Amino acid sequence: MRKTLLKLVLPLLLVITMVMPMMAAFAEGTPAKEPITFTMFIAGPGEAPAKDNKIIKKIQELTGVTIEFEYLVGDMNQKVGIMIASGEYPDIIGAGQARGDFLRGEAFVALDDYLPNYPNLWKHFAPYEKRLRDVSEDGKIYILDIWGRTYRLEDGQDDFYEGDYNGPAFWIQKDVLAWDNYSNPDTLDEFFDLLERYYAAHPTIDGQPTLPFEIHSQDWRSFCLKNAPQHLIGGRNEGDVVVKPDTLEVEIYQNKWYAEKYYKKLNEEYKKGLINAETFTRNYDQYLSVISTGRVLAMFDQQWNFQDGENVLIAEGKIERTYVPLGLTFDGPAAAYNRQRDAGLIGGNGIGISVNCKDIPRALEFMDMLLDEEVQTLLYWGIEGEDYYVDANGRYRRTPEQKANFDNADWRLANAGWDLANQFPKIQGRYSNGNIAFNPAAQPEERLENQFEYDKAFYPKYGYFTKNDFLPTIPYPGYPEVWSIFSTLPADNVAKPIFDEITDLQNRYLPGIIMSNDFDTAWKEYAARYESVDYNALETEIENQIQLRLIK
Amino acid sequence: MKSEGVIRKKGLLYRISTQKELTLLSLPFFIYFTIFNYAPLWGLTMAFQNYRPNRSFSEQEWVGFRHFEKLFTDPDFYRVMRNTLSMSIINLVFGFVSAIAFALFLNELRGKAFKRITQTVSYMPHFLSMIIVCGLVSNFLAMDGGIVNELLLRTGLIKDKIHFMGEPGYFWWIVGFTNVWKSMGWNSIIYLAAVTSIDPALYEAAAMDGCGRFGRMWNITLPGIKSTIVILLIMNAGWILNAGFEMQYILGSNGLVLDVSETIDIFVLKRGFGRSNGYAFGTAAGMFKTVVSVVILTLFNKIAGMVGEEKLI
Repeated sequence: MRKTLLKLVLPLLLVITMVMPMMAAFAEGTPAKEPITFTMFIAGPGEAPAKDNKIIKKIQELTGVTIEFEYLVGDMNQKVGIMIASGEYPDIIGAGQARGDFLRGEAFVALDDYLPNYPNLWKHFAPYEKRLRDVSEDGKIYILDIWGRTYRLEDGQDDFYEGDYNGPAFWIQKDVLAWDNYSNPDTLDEFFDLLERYYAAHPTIDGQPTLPFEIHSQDWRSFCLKNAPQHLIGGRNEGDVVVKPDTLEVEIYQNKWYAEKYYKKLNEEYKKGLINAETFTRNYDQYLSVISTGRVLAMFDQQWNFQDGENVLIAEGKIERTYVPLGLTFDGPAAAYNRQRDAGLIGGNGIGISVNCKDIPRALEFMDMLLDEEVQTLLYWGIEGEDYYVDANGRYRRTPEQKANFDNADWRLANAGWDLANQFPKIQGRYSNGNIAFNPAAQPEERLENQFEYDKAFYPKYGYFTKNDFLPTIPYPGYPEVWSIFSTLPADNVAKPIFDEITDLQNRYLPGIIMSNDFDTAWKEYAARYESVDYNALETEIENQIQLRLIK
Repeated sequence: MKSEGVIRKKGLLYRISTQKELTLLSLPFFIYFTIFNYAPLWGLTMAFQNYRPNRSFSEQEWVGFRHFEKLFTDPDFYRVMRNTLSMSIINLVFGFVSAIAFALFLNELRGKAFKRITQTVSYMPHFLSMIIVCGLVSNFLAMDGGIVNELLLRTGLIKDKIHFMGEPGYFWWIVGFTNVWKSMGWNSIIYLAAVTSIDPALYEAAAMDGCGRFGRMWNITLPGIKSTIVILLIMNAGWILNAGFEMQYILGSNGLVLDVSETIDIFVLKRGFGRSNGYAFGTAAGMFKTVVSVVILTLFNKIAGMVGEEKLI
């Protein structure tokens, strides 16, 4: 039944897609097609754009499509469970973290036969077809990723369009580096040596005791405690494993020499008083709050995780207390950590069209139209002359007023297309005319203009443009970061219980090891416990998963 | 035999018809308990299945007692049982003693206004959310400017600051003390109420016989509220595996004290939801807890009956 319907619809669709642009050209300003409303559930928190949002209205005129959003309120498993059990799906589903449940519940339509008919969508997804397929058990495409497709022009300028690096690094206060004549330590020993010297010279900051090195270790945020060793030997942020670059062999590392070496160093620094015992008992709010006082000199963390604390420093004008990333290694030189080019999309991180969708081709056509560069500009930059202007060189620019509008979340709900566009596949990186897509604030000219006075003096001391330049870049190795593979694995994958077990073990032991009087004994006990877990099975499974997702 | 059944049936119907109003009054509660307390018992079947969501009941795979075997051979299980029982006993003993003592002393207060104010202030913490209470506790006990450490340091009682929240030896006592602080006032209300039902003539007689204040407390007030104490003890004993959840979860989630802070409730949560495919295992652990509670409750109830006190059931 469905097959025959498909056969009927496909040729029709072809005709429509060919005729449509012509029709649109003839009838400008009037709806291109009959109005239709799609319901859409997002398995995550959020806010729907205002009904009279000026951009959304334009999109409606252009496409005839209205999207009615329903965001997740309350418990995800419960909501999704009920949805699957009842089979009452909306037209489109933003699967979020519940992708596995929806896939197993067979909530989505396979899009394999449809996709090649939509030029923008096909151009967008074809390079990553393999990853889209690998998410499902039967190898069909059900979920279209909404994040991670970066368009580059390869004109040597692409790096300037990167947003601020917000990934893992040893983050250090600018003032510490400036005090040391703008030094740039690249080994762990130099780094702690600098902290020791600065601490000795500045035992208090603003009247409160200085905290030289913080290690946050609560719950899932314990990556601040555990993830450094993989980088110290030059690796990317895989999370809980290290992947050997040439053979793609996988290795659990919390019991390896480089982990031991790192924790031993921390143990020494703890004994010297550079690490405060209380760092392990601070909850996340308390961690942010000590950072916001400006007396934390450095930590290993990912910037998005401590951003809220840093924002307080910025608001108070303490720019010298904000942080730059260092790519420390054991023996130098600095490593890239996670500053990599063109990671691409992960697979499974996006939206699907439900089996109940009232008009599948129309929904896909809508997504296809959204991927048009002009529509993307409308969605993310707004209306020319109103929300941004184009200068003599064809560059998109914003006045301070226009920028301030966009920085205001309430204004955006009523006047910008972000809240709609963020839920669909989008262009990231650059448009073909060279301007930045998706994130207007990262347009290089604007970024340079908006830099703080302190930063304008600070970065040139190193010959840098932004804090990103503290880290070198690495080419993309062809597979997604392992932690993201983990998050898309189905719940009954063999690796999961093993992973749970070692995570528990690590969180339980590591703080105590760093604080122990006798490091070697404590480490031996921990390493022995580690051997009771069958982590080889996890390594093998991850090796398979990497091969599945590898794109060369 | 048959006729007896008929008579009994008739009896029941007869009773219902004569007590129409009462039956009607109890109906909403009957419905409430059926829907919210009895129907969910069906979910316990999960404990005997290899439960997978999105599958109908008939498609589930039955595994017998496998999850229970796994539970009882899990070394973590004995650890969380130890933590649960220890904290529970600390809570029970200190919670009981403090509430009774507080009620006795409050009862002896003469100034009415002062007594009222003390009582009101004492049960205020009961209304505080656990999040706030835990925030207060961790701020008070912090090394970085916490008031307790500052006080101890300035009075010269300690030389180095104590890392209260990171020392496994302190954790149970911090939880116990916080519980006493939070619930002492509230729990004493019921004893105070019981005290008012004691015949004042007894006190007068005792006073005439030369009995002092402490003597009266010991010989009249305490025996007067004995049955209340026993009833509450039975009720609380049933909760012995409920050492709490929120406080241990909020205060004890760091690696330094995790070994002593995890209670059986946290264990159920972590295994049931935190781990993949843990629903069945979590249900088994939760079911074990319930069964033990019921057994203990029945046991204490029996004991109370044997020593000649009022029984709960």
